[in-house]
Amino acid sequence: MMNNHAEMNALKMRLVPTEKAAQTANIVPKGATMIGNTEASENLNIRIDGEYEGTINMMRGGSVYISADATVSTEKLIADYIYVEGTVKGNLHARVAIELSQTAKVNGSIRYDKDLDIHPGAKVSGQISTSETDD
Amino acid sequence: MQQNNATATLASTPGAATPPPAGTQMGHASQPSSEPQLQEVPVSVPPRMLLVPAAGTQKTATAETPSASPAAARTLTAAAAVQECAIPEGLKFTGEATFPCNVRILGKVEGSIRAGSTNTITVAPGGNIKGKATAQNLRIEGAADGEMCAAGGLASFGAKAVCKGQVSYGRIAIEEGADIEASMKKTAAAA
Repeated sequence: MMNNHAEMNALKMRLVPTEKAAQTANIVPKGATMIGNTEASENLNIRIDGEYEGTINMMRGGSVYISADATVSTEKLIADYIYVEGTVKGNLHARVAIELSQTAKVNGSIRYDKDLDIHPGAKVSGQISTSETDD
Repeated sequence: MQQNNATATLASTPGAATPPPAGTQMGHASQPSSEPQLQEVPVSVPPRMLLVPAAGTQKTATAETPSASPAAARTLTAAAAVQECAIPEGLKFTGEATFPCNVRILGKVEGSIRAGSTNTITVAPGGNIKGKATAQNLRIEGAADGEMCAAGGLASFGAKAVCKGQVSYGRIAIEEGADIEASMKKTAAAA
């Protein structure tokens, strides 16, 4: 059991499939600033290392990786998978799963339709909701 | 009998870290009724404690994460080696963006994109930019509409390029077949 845990921690991502991270397109590298709206077609994975302000709408199969150096301010960020290591202010909606790593700082609302994973050390302020409890 | 039972409990509690068989050794086979209870205690402790050791191992795990996890290492080196970033195919960005590196546009951009003063913006075949692009060099192989500023550098157009609007450049290169309908302005002498 312990071995299993150590393995999962070594992988860093416990919930978001790691292959999603391996195939990401780094659209906002460190030092870059993007202000605006992003829309993506299906099965696209993006990674943010810099500053992003605005909405992100990923279609089915899409994922967003917000790295430790990233700062994201968003009224609406929608993807199947969201992995957060950095700072986020705003509203996140994961159609499948959202994972907050130990360095994540989230201020705003989180909505997830299936799975939520918060690593010890992550800082979260705001509302967390899932569609399952909507009756 | 009861005393024996009590000592067994005391002995097995500190021994919780060691495998449960210790409890079985302490208690004699003559107490089958109390045995299951004793065994349940050490067995139930590890799962409850799971979160604490998990946090402990996580710290050590993250310290060695860059080399330990192949997936993480790949993304980390990819980030460190970034001299070029890309707007991938299928992505549409509307707004303003500033990059400290070369930019390759395979998707669609509407708005303004600025790269560093020594960098190049490339609009790849299939890529599309509408608005303003500013960098030292511009390479257009896709579609560009708007203000294209190659500040003092080279503006080059591929054979499949489609360009409308204004182009300012230090030097220019146009391949045969490029479809360009734009006002051209030379801004600075090319080095």
